[in-house]
Amino acid sequence: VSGSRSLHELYDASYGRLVLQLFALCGDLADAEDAVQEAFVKAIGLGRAFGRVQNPEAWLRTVALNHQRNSWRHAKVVRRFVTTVPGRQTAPELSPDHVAVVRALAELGPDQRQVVVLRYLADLGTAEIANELGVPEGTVKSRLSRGRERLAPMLDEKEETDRV
Amino acid sequence: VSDLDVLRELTGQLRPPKYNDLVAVARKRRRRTAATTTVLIAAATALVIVGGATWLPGMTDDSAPRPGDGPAASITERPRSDQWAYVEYYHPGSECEGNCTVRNGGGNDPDDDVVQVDASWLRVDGQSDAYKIEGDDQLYVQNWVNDEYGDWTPTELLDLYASLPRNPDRLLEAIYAELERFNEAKPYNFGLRGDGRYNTAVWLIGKLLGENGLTPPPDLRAPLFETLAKVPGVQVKEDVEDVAGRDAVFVGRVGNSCASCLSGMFLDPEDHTYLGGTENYQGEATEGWAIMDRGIVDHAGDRP
Repeated sequence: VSGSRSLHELYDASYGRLVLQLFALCGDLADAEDAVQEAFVKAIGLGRAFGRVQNPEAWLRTVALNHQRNSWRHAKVVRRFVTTVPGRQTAPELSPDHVAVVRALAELGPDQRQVVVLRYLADLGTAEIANELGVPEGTVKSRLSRGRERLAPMLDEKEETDRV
Repeated sequence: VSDLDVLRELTGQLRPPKYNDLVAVARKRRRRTAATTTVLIAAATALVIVGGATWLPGMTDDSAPRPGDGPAASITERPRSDQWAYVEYYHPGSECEGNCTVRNGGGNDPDDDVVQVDASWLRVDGQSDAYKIEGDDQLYVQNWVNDEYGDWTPTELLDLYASLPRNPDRLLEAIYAELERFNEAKPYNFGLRGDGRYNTAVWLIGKLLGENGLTPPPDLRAPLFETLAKVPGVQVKEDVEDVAGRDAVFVGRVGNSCASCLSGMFLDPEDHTYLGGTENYQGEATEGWAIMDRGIVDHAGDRP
């Protein structure tokens, strides 16, 4: 990303999928949108320094996730002093399927959930996930394997319920 | 696990805010924090020796050469905590039409030419900063917010200079460690592996050599250049011009913009004083930044 145009293009291309990934990780769509918007505001504010970021989308995801994780700590300060995006976005309606999937994900531990989301919603390979999380690829594979094992019955249960 | 795909339906239902709304928010925050991105660059100017003469607060000798024009600059003594570091910073604005130039703008903000900061002052202890916007004589002074990667007060940068090893190998290790420390301390995930690590190391060495306005002490200066040469992929381009049209040597490596775009710094060809830098050098410096003037003054608004 070398300039405003490419950051704008990145916004158009990645906003939706980043929100989706954050939603899958944190379980709250409004929080997910807020975190992703905050990440883009920070990227814009960084100016040319953002051009030094090796993987802009991974950077945005990390900043958004950190914002979401830390929001409880500085919410008061943020609300009082930090300009936020004006207007209210209309949140999409969640279907029972959406809710069921998010609930199933919430049953996973945070490490497993993150790996599963990066693999199946961000479509990253295990090597890319390892690079983004700073853990060995073997660790990613084992977390992914355990996550899949734990997730499958929960999703199966959902399907059983749907059939009934 | 393919059930996760059901979530993808949601992306089509999202109504994201307009990109320009986010730009407006970023701009408002920047103004509130005294144009943070520009103050970041302008931060931390130090006492220097230029052309063999000490360039000190209140110095009025017009014949004294300035950083970028004269020979190697080095630190002599610490400024007082209540003094101010001043930097004039030139940035050719890519959004500017015609022959106009933008100072201290730049970045990803498409309206950066609106933020035309001529000059910035940062209190040595980092308590406050001040700036003037081009076309407006008013001096804006406010609390400084240190919230950016590589953002140091002059005091902090002098401490960093003092703490760094002088052996080039150990210095390179210390620079990598410094990058990791910042990366862990801040919520910004700079790529610190492979090319990302090397590019960020070149960037940090540029900051240590003068991007923040401060220049390193003599016993650190040579090791910094030796360390720069040790970073894999570093290239040197001689007989070039910096973004302000001054004779320069370019030192950098392939950056993130494109396969042929070099990211790095311009140095004075004679004494290797840091002149400025760019993220996109392709045989010509059409964008980037140049330090035009700097010094320590007693009051915000004073010029050296």
